[in-house]
Amino acid sequence: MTSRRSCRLKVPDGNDLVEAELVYELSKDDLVQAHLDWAPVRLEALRRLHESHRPWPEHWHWDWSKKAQMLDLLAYRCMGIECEGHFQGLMMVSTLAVKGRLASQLGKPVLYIEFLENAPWNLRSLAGKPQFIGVGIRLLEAAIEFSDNEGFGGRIGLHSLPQSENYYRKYMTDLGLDAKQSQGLRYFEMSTEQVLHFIERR
Amino acid sequence: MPDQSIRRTMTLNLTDAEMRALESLSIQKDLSKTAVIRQALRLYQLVDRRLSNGEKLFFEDKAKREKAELMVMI
Amino acid sequence: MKAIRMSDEVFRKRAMEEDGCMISAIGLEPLFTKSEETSRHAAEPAKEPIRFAFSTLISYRRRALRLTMEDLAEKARIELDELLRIEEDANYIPEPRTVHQLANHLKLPIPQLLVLSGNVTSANAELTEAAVRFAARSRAVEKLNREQSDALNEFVKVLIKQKVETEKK
Repeated sequence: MTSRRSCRLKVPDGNDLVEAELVYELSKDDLVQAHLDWAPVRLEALRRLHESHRPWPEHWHWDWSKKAQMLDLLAYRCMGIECEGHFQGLMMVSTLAVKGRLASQLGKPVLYIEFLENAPWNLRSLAGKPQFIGVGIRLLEAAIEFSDNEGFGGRIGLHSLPQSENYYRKYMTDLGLDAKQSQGLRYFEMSTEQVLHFIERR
Repeated sequence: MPDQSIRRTMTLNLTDAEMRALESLSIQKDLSKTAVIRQALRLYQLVDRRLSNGEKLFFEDKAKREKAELMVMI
Repeated sequence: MKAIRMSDEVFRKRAMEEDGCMISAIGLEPLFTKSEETSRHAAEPAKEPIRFAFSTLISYRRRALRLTMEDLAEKARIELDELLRIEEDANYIPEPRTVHQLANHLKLPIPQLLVLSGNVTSANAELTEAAVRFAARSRAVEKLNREQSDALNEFVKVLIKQKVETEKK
């Protein structure tokens, strides 16, 4: 049986929180199903963006079938937030620790987030009014929990897409453009102190 | 409750040298010994898969401009 | 196993900050750094008009054959996402298999398409010039169907002529 726990998401209007579930380990089929659910909405959004000459989200060319194959390996784990019968957000992490680059945790094990994505209907720039908000937060929370349980101290790291940089700067350290990669993405890390702030401080 | 994936316990028989290596890695990497073993298993499987797919694994010494292929039987 | 959970109050605050930010992350396979020479998907800026010609050729040809993207993706057995990327992103270099499939279903010559897509390098000056002309004409006249059609037909003639000449040798 797939391991799950309850969590809550926020609705866009008002302060209400709705019940959802964090699924700790998605199978390949789960990932493919999520892709199929998201594809028509994403395609429609792409058409509208194209017609209005607006750029489309950089990550939408991701090769999902290749990502699904990665789940054959212990080295990768995919988690998702499920609500109302659909995955509202997905995240894949590498279970092989990477070395911390932040000065305060140089060389310490860090959980690397391979990808993190909201369902297209939750993106305000595409859907107008999102169905749920806070999905990304719940996934970051899940990553921190997983990191802690793996013995990595809750530390997480990721490469941000440009549209997300401002958000990550609030709670993580921007370590700048990654010289080892040519895609011009910035690398962010969250230390154990930053984790405490993110999870607990109002 | 957090991740409740079923876990099984096994006894590991290691030589003194292997145990020292495990303890040393545990300290170096700031991971428990169990976490080190789990990391090793994940890496082993990943490397094995990529080698089986026909890829090669190299160590590179940029200063000496040398590359050495990993030739172990995995 | 320890549960790490933020309180509802903290979550509401974080969620309000997230709203509109499109939180996302993309992995760059930090377990394996790729050297520049082997990175498939970044085209060199100097080859941009040829890249653009490839993207536009696929799009125009599909439309000339009155196929929707979904139709073509299904017939050619390629991912719809990838077809979208081919038509929209001139920097994207598709896999050779994808190029073969597209060539077969759009009735375009495979060798020339492999060059245009960035999979194969070639010193073919005629092809390069034709691609640059096509790219220029396509960009200048996006909204005029007749002109697009003429540009497309002329470019395809060059490709087919080259294919015939190659087969004769």
